[in-house]
Amino acid sequence: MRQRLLCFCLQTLPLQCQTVQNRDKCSKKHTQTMESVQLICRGPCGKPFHALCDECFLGSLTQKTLQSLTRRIDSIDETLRNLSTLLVPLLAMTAQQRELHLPTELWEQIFQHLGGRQLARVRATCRRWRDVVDGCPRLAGKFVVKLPTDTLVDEHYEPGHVMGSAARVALEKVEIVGVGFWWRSLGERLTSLSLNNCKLSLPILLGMLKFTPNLKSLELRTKFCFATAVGDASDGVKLTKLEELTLLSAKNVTLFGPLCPRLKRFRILANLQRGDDDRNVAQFLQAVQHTVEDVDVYLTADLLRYVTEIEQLQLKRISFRCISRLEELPLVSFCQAQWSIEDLGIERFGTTNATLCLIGTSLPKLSRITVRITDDGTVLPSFVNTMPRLKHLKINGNSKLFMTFGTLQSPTLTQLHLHDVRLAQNGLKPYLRKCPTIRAIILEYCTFDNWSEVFGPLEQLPTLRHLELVGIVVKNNIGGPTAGCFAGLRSLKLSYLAGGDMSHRMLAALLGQCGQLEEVHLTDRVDDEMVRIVGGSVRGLRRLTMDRCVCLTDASVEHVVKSCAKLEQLVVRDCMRITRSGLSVLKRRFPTVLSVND
Amino acid sequence: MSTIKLETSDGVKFTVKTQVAKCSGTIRTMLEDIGINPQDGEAIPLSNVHSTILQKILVWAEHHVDDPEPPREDADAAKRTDDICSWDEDFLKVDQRTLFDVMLAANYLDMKQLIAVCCKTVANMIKGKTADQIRRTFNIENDFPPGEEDKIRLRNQFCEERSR
Repeated sequence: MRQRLLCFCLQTLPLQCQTVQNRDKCSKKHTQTMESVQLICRGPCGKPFHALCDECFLGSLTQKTLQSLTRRIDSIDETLRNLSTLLVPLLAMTAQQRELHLPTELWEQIFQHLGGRQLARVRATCRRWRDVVDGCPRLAGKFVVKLPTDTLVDEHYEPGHVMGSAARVALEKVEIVGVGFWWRSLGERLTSLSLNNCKLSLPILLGMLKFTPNLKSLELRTKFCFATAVGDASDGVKLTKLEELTLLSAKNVTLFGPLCPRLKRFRILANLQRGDDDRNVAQFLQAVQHTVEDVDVYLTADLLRYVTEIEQLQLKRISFRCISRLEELPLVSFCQAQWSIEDLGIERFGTTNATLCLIGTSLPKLSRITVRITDDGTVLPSFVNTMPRLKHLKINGNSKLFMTFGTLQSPTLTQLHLHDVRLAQNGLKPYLRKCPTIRAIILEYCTFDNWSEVFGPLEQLPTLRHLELVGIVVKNNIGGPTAGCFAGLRSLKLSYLAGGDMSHRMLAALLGQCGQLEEVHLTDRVDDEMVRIVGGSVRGLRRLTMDRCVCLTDASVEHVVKSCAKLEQLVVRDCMRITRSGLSVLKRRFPTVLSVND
Repeated sequence: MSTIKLETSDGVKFTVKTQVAKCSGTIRTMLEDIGINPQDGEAIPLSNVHSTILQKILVWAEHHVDDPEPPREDADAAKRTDDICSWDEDFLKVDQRTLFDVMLAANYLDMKQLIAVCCKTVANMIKGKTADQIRRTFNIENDFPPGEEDKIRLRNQFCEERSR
């Protein structure tokens, strides 16, 4: 039998009764014996006290002691209450710290999976998380600093906020006449700078670039005023880490050549207009020939000739745009000189199959090509067989062309994109059977005989994940998908031009075969009923885009709200007939996943 | 099949197949580099791991013991969070405390694949939530001074990642 003995410091002492005295014994013989037993408190006070059993103790109390005891208990009670108000948040805090105590590197790894917008929310959650995001360059690099459009930036301008830890700046429609001290501290960290439609002079830009030694990417979609008065403004500018340069025009391109010794990617957006533009670009490429790998420019016959002659140039990727018709032979010579090309874009540059065969044999490393075929009549694109490492293939056809792939094969092809191609009967199926790694097929404005000709080649491709059927035209509106044929498909884009080219029944049948579909992109004349079918059939829908769907009304909003529970991303863009109230319904239902752009 | 003994922070001893235990980089290093001999019958002390968590981690390791080496991490692949296999998804359907404890233990034991899948799971818990919803989910206190108006600042200053 145990007895609890209480010292006034409230520390309870469990004691074996015999150490004190037996309870029965004490009841009979009364308290004197017990009071003589002195104990040492094992609690915080550590003082000696006389032990009493509860019963005798209470019996021996006088009125006076009782009153003093009650007061004492009251004060203890109050202290306890005060303590508990202190303790509750303390306890909650320690629970939270325990819950969330992960080392910084684990938080970094978690946040790595988030995009910029979500990361901004994470950063606004608490100080600890903000510090994690700001302290990690890879995370901070996801943020972009922007200023409101039409801001005038001069020497006295100060951005109204601390710049955080952003490593990228993207300014649009901002006028810059000078920069203050803030630019120096920001510039040091900057890896990417983009000026879109801004107003500034070249000397001002060069002045800014003096403080951005770590820049990797520079994009200047901006015309410069006072461009001629450069003088030696580029003194002190050295962009030793710059890998990517995008310019609006070729006007000042030669200036950048000596500034960027490590340039890899180079792009000019506008046409090369004047005679010396070609020479300027060639001179620039000459300056960066040892490092540049990736070029995207408008092509002229002169430029092609100049570039072919640059000795050290070894490109991996080149995309030519052109405005005038070019001879095919210089292109072949160029490819023979640039045998290292892996990615060739000559979409604007019509070529025949025969030329493409010559190009294919010149480029042993080619893995991506975009072409436009100028042949007419029935054509077998036999160039495909001269490119055995091809991964991405885009062919633009023309209205006089009939294409059949016959028994050609692309053992490593992952993406096939056909645009404006009329396919002969059974023109695609045998080829796709010889593409064992195909993941994405895009058919845009292609013409087929009937729906079985469309779906037949696409069925039973176990690796197929992404399919786009945009503006498909069939001559005979018969046939359709067969059972169990799109099991692996994850993402589907559909566009209707004529309104009724794929029936609702066929859409339902198609979606019924796509058990793993997660993403649907609808555009053009898709109607509300189709949205209903998508919502009802695609159980695991995570991403839905409705882009320029001119026929969709608020009925579609209802379908989406009702059946798309798992959405992680919802984009509604330029759907004119969906009303503001319809959009606000979507906004309420999907507050964080909806993005509207109209 | 050879086994080794592991002893957790609360003194519980586990006998584990060596192959399974080697899912942990920490244990692998102990065995291979430092040369701790498992035949001695002495348990390897895991002073940072509680028995309930180790139990759970061993279940995971047992299931993934034959997984091939993960491919070299590249920046884009690391961004996906929808590729958690359904077994792992079920395995990590636990209360938050356990999930974080598993993560800490996996970190201590240096089990990269388990850490990766846990990180994705936590990232999925964050995705699509506002700052306030995140605080409620993880029971975080808003410790910003009220005048800072951090959110407004963020909205003005930062935007979504540049779309490619």
